[in-house]
Amino acid sequence: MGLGSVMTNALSGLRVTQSGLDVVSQNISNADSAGYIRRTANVAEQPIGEQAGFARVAGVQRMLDKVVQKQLWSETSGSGYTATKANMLGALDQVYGPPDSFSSLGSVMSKFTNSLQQMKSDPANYALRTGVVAAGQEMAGRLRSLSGGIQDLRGQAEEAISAAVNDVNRILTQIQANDGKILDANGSQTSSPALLDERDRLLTQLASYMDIRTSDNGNGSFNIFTTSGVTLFAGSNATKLSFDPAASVGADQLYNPDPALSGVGILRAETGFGGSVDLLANNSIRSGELAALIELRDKTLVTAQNQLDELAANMASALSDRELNGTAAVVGAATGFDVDTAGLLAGNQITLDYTDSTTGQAARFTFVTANSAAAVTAIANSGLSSGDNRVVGIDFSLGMASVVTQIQAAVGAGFTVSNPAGSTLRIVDDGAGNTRDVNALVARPTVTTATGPQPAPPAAPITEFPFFIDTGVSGGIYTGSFEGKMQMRGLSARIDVNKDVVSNRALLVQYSSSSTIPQGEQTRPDMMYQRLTSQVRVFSTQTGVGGTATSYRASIQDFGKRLIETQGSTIQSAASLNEGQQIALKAVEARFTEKSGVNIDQEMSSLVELQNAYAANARVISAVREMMDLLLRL
Amino acid sequence: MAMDPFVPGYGAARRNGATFLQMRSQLDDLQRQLATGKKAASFADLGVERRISLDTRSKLGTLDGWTKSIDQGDLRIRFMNQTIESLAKSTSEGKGDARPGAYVQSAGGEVAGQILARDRLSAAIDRLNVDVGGRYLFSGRTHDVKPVENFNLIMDGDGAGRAGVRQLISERQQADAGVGDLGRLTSTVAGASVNIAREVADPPYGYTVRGVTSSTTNVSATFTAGPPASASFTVAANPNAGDKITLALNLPDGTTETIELEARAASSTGPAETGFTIGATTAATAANIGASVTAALQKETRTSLGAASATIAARDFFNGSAGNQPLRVPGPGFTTATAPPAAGLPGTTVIWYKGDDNAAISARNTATLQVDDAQVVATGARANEQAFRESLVGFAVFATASFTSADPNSRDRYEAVTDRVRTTLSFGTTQKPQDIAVEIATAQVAMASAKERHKITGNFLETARAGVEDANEEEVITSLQALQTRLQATYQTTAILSRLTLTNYLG
Repeated sequence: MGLGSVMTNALSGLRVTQSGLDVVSQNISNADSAGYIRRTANVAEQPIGEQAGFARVAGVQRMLDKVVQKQLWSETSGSGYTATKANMLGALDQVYGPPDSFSSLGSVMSKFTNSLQQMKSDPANYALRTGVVAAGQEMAGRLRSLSGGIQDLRGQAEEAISAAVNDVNRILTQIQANDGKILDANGSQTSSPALLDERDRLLTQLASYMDIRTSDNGNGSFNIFTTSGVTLFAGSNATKLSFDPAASVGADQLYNPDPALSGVGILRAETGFGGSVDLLANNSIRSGELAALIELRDKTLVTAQNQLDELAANMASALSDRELNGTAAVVGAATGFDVDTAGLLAGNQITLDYTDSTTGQAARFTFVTANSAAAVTAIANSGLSSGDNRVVGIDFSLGMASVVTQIQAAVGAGFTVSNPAGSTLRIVDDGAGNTRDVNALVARPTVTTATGPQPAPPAAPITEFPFFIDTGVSGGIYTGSFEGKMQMRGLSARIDVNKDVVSNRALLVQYSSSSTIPQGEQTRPDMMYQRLTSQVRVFSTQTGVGGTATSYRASIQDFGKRLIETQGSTIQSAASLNEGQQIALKAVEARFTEKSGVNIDQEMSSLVELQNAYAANARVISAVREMMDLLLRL
Repeated sequence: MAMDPFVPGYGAARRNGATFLQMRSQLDDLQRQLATGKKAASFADLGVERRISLDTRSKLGTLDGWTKSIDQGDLRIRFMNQTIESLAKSTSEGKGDARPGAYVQSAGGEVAGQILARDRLSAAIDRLNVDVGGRYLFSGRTHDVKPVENFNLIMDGDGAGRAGVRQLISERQQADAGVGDLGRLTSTVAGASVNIAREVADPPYGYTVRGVTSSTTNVSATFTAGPPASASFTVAANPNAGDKITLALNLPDGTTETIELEARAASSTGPAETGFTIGATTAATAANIGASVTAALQKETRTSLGAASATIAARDFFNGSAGNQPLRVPGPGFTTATAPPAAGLPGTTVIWYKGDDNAAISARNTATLQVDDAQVVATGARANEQAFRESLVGFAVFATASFTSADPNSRDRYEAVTDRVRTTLSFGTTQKPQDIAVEIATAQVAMASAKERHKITGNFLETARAGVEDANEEEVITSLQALQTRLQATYQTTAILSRLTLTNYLG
């Protein structure tokens, strides 16, 4: 022990204090830097043998709580997901319009039925007929603009996915570059905080796009996975994501795992061996902005479009499809109905309502007219079937004998299907077996002209007519066909009022080609009003209206209301979910800040402390010098 | 959308910022509520109550539609009521015009009541052609078709092949009168007997004999029921002056007439149609009876049978419609027509009613008005409903008759015609204009009560809707003030805290 060692200690004190000041100044200067974690200099004693040693800086420590960091990433993903969804659906909300607006879907529907109400009390009135045509056009226009709005949002989602994928790739490349430096510097533990900060900053960015987890390999290298297990970064290799956005997105452009069939971009992760994994097919991204965008593009907005298409299709069919109720048929103890299948166009339906006597449950079979095996497959894949309404395609191009076989195969035991004559279809129950009771058999052929030949009285006149048309097909008749493609898909983007009716409003009344119908005849207006407001129709579960297990049965008017309601609730729940998520994120951020953020007051007090320490060490040196002087002067 | 990069050192500031943004947006929302009076700007913002909003709005829209229909229907019904009432008044006045014993000769051959009847017919046509906003109210389902042709065409035809009511009446009168105005009867004298029989062909026109009587045993009256019915008077011995024989006749319109002939002494004279002179022999008396019968039949034909024919023909004319051509006497050669009246060829008769005439639909049901979910009222009417038709028949028969001063039968004809006009315009047990008015009024009452109901339901729904959608102004203002205070306090505190840093106190 001597003055020399005191001097050494004091000098080490000055060095340590300088390092401390260095860290404090770093902290203060980086207080606003993204991802910057507060650092502290760890001061330790350097023992010299068994004696007390001088002070040294053992390392600069990042004040990081890894548990909170993991939470932060997870909440960041969550909040990226909810915020994106709420934001996009907020835009959809604007598309549907406010409750009191004259242009909202609800108001427009109401206006249309109202105009029919007026016209049916005074059918010859030209102004009222014009009112029906105008309200019908507004209704069709509203459906088109809503559909356009939805597809615009899908297009935006597609672009946003593309932009996000580019950003993710940039982040992964930067992480790769940064990780290289970390590995290089790994020998000198002290130099890495800045690199680690950078890495964490990049990871937080990545977390806002997708849900990630990391695993440390110990030597400074680490791996990044999605929570579903897809490797994004392994050792020092970044996975490249690829996405081929569609140039434009329309209602019938849907995701399909087969790239040849997919109408929208497919998100893939390249595995590095020339292969790639479809991240959409495996539902690999479960949170973050990307997950939200994918969900919007492929589910939420598709459902919204389905709802509009279902509404459009039902409005078109309700006014154009006849309701041919079967005539009672009795075969021994078995009872059922005969219905004429002549005149059914591709896509037209025959419905069989029955009761399962063993359970007492009522259910329905819907047989959809098809003219090709491809259409039968398309109907099976359409997703229109539900537990209580099984939708089956029947290929009518193969003749009645085949139709009977196909229907028999579809309905199974408990029914007997036959073809008593011509194009008549007979379905009877199992009589004495009493496992099934046939309640109704109805064929719904589409009427293609506004003024067709009429059956001889007393048969009811044919008053149905194509008031709404599909501008996407030649002739414009909507039949619900599955030939080539599903006609219902995207109908709301193509629906319009029949041009013949627009140019000749008398067609709202005149339904016969063979005889003159008085201008004041209410039959057709009555039919239109009844079909839109009180006829109970079956809506597919694809719309998500009224649950997903059983199909929704209601009038078109009611379906319209429930559609708006369902959308409203989807949008609201997205918004409130986001609100909650933002609160959760703020809470985690607060905790993270507390531990890892730079607090200027704290740094200032450290500064004061370091200043004092510096002064004290300097004082010691000064004292040693005085003492040395004193000693030398002796 | 990219997220703000997270700066751990700025956590507090970030939280403050978020708080400010949130409060600001609350403030904006409250301001919007105050400006628009609505709680929410979209169905999403309305929350679970959006169902109530949607349902009440839709129901209110429907009620509004019904109320509008009722209002429009009400206007039409008021017009209809007015028309029917004035028509009913016109018929009862017309009946008064055709009062008995009021014949006054006029040079032009028209009596005052007749001129009035013509005006009433013309006015009735105008009334039945009433339209509201271009919709003809008495045209059934053909709202765009003026239901009744104009007066001149109805009366006189178009002069180019289509006959009017006047021609139909004339034809029928000829057919009923037959050759010699005997009403298609023959009166032959054989020895001491007078035989009165139908023409050999027994045409479905003119009189049928209903019976004969004699007040004396000297002249026997024999009636053969037939058909064809016939009768004879056989003079066994000359009757005494004052003895009477009668011949009862059925007229084609269902009325009856009785001819009474009185035996007159050879010295006295009188009109042949009321009596006969007792001759020197029974054969001479029979011959006188025969002449008297002929004269009486002729007079009857020129008075009451003519009136009866006119009524039938007018009724046939007004029964006609486009799908149902009026019955016409086959001819020319009307006086000798033997075939019964048959539907004329299209284009030969004026079809006075051009509106909807589907027998399968009742007149009322030609215009129905849905006033509620399940309530439908029938408010239609057709100009060719029986009550209207009968009114027109009454007026037309009176208007077409001729009472020239030169014609000695004018007075009696006047009585015969007015008698039938009164009967027709009294409607008897058939539909009266008032019956139609009552049916329409019933619809009107149902509409009024439905409207009242809609008003009450509407008020209730409106309250429910407002409760869900409308912002409570007091509540909004209070919230606004509270929020403003909180926001100001937060700003203040944040400002104070931001100045409170150690940096400021280090020298």
